[in-house]
Amino acid sequence: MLTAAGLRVREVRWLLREPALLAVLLAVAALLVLFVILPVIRVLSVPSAEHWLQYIQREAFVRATRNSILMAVLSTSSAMAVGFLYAYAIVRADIPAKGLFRTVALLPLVSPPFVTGLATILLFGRRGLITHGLLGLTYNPYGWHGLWFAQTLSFFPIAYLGIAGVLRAISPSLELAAHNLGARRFAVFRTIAVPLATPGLASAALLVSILVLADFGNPMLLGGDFYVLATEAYLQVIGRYNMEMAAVLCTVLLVPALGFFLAQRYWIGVRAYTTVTGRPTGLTPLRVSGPVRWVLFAACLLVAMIVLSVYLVIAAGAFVRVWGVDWTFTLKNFQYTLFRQRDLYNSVRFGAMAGVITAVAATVTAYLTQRKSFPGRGTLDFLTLLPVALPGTLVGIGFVLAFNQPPIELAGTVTIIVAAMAVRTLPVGYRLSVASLHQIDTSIEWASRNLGASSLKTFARIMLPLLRYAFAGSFIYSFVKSINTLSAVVFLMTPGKVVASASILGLADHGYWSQATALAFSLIAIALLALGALRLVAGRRVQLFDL
Amino acid sequence: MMGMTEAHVRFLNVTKRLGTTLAVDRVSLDVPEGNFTTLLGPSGCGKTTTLRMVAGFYHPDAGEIYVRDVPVTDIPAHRRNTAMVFQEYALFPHMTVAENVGYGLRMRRVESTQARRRIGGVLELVGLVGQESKFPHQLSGGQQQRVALARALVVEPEVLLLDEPLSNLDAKLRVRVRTEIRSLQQALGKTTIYVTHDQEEALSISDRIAVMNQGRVVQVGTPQEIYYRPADRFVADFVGLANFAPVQVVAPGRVRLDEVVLPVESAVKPGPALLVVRPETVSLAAAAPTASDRPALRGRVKTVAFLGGLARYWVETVGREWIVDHAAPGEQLLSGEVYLTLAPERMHVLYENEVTHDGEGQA
Repeated sequence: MLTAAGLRVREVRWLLREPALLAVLLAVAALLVLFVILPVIRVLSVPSAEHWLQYIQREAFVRATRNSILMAVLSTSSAMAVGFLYAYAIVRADIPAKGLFRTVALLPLVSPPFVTGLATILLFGRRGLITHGLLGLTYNPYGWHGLWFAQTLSFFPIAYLGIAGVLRAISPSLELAAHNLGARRFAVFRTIAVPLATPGLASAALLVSILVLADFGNPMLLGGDFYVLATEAYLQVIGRYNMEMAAVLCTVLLVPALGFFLAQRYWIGVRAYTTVTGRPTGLTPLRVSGPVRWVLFAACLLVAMIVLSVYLVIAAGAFVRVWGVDWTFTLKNFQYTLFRQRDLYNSVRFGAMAGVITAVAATVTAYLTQRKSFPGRGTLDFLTLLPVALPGTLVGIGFVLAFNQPPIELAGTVTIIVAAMAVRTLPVGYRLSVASLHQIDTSIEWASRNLGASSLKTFARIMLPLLRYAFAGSFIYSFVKSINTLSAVVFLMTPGKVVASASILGLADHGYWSQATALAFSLIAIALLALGALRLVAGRRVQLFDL
Repeated sequence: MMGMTEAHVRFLNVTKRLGTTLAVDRVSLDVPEGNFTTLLGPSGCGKTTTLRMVAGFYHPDAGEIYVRDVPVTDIPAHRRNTAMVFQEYALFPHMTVAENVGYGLRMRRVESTQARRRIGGVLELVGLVGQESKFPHQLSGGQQQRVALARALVVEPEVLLLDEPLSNLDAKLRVRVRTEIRSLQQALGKTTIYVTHDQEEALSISDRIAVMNQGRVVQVGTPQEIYYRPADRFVADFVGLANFAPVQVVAPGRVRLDEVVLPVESAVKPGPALLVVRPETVSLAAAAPTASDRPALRGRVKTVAFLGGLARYWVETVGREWIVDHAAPGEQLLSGEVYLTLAPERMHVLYENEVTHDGEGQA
């Protein structure tokens, strides 16, 4: 029998027989090393022991860490609570308007994450519609409480998706069996649903907390002097150009995210942050009783109203002259966003470029890892999914550290911005492609090879056409996420290459609410149009947000 | 049959491990030119893995496969001219019938008017004229099967590989298509390797059968050799029905079964052995045969199954049960006491070392 090493040698020999395939493989590997590994290594290697000592000693850093943890705990708890109510109501209760609730939950996922922060200010700020306009109060939303509110709204859909998946995965027959054995509805919930859902709930909670930890936009907008690690890192770069210290803070953010990523990979075997989705079986799950049903409905309605009010406020803000002062209808804000500055145009252009790169890279890499055997296949899979565990701030700072000097000098180019966007969305695109590939029987590919097509020809003529919906899905996902992203690109922009998401933050910072909301409104509209186009092309064959 | 022609495809000690299981274990086999050879065995016996190695989807861990004396292990799948018909057909769902069939020609850069002619020819051969612009999902299972066959034949493969091509068809269609495949193969004189787990299919379609079990080729021979002279108990049991009885060979041509001495032509070497008796070689009568040199075994009918063309009896003799097929039984079936007569020239003897140890007694 051949040894493992012998088999490896064989695999390499096989690759050498298809030089074109080998070239593609090497190119993919090189790009992943360059844009995933190198920035992480730079972030990890730049700080010295002295910087780490400073991190422990300096009051500001200790406080930022404490604030980050506090915010993660608070927001995760509230997002999970709201998400659970929402998920339980939609999956298990026979409530009306489920479609509306699902759509509402989709909104925060496809809009810039700081939109809720922006709306919070417009509703509750010094000139807020509710606080100032209706109640005549002078309330200051800046700080931990405003941020908590905004983060809860931003991240409850993630909690909802995770929990809904967990609830759907619990076979209705188990609950019916318990019911059949004499358990009352609440007893069923307590003895069957809760214990079965606990691991999945823990996993969803961890995911939400990591996303809250890494979030940059809302703390920047709403934090006031409540600094968290991500904003503190930004301050170190922009204010003091202390890259080493920023790298330390990013590393602190990386640890929990990476830990979660590795644990998921190791224990669950589920690729990256997937949620379990169970197909409904023939049995109808045990429905909740009448009164509970209406309580759940009321709770969902309240959440949906709040989310909708966020978007209505953004829309309203976009069409009035000066928020809180002059409520006259106007279109001049759009004149400004569409014609006076190029930020929105940049966002769309860069997002489209990132989308193409992500879709191509995801499809090619998925084909390689799922259908070809070569040494390092597992590593390639790992590297492609790794960016999901990298906080945006870390990617941004890592890119600055890795590419602002020879041999690879990309600072100030479009390439570096697009690359950062593509890297961040690659894992989801890759997962879509892998899932699609699993639907295509291996024999289809074998048949093509058998009839004389090389690996690359087989990919181009057979696999690519069959993967077209996954390809479109990857493109749209990457585009939507890229036009909304802030944390990574904020470090990479140079004059003339500013993107809309950063521009919104700047406008809001200076109190140009109308222009900021007009820009945010445009981004959301573009994202929804893109999703609509995907639905038109692919129907329900691609589910980007699992709704 | 063996050795009469030059081997077209030759397996030499081919071994393949899939994960931790030894899927193919030192398989050696010659497939002569123009021959229809079937790899027959239960699922997991390594037959499909062996076929895939010919196509180049898997590569042997050890050993070598030769096509016309050329070792093929280092030739990538797409450069081998070994067209395969897949069990699931593997038709390209986004291509029409004509595009599917023409795919291999396009890869071979066959000039388009010639390609069109060849596509037309092969579609005529498999009876699919007029279906050119349909998509696979618009065809019936039988039609899809023909497209798969046409797609493989049109490239004029060196060797044609068929991987359980009939398993997705219903029983009647299966019989029809296998006859068609056989006559096509004979008309074209194409060297063919066929994989199936269906022994009846293997017997009916093949020039030669290689029976496989647990990764090994246990016997190679014509369908008749395999059926009447199985190499071991596994083959006897897997191919067709058989009665097994432990016997003692007392002298050349004579064996002792329980208390009776029977004439058995194939018994040569004295010693303990296993008698293999096919159900249809036993004759059954209501009364003891008179004036016969063959001793009859007296027994009782336990059950009988009427199958139309034959009646299958389960007959109990002293300490033993026999399956006996009675051809053209008519409307009156036997019951109660019956007499079994065994044909000396149709029985087969397996000696100790050939008996696989999976129990004694009846099939």
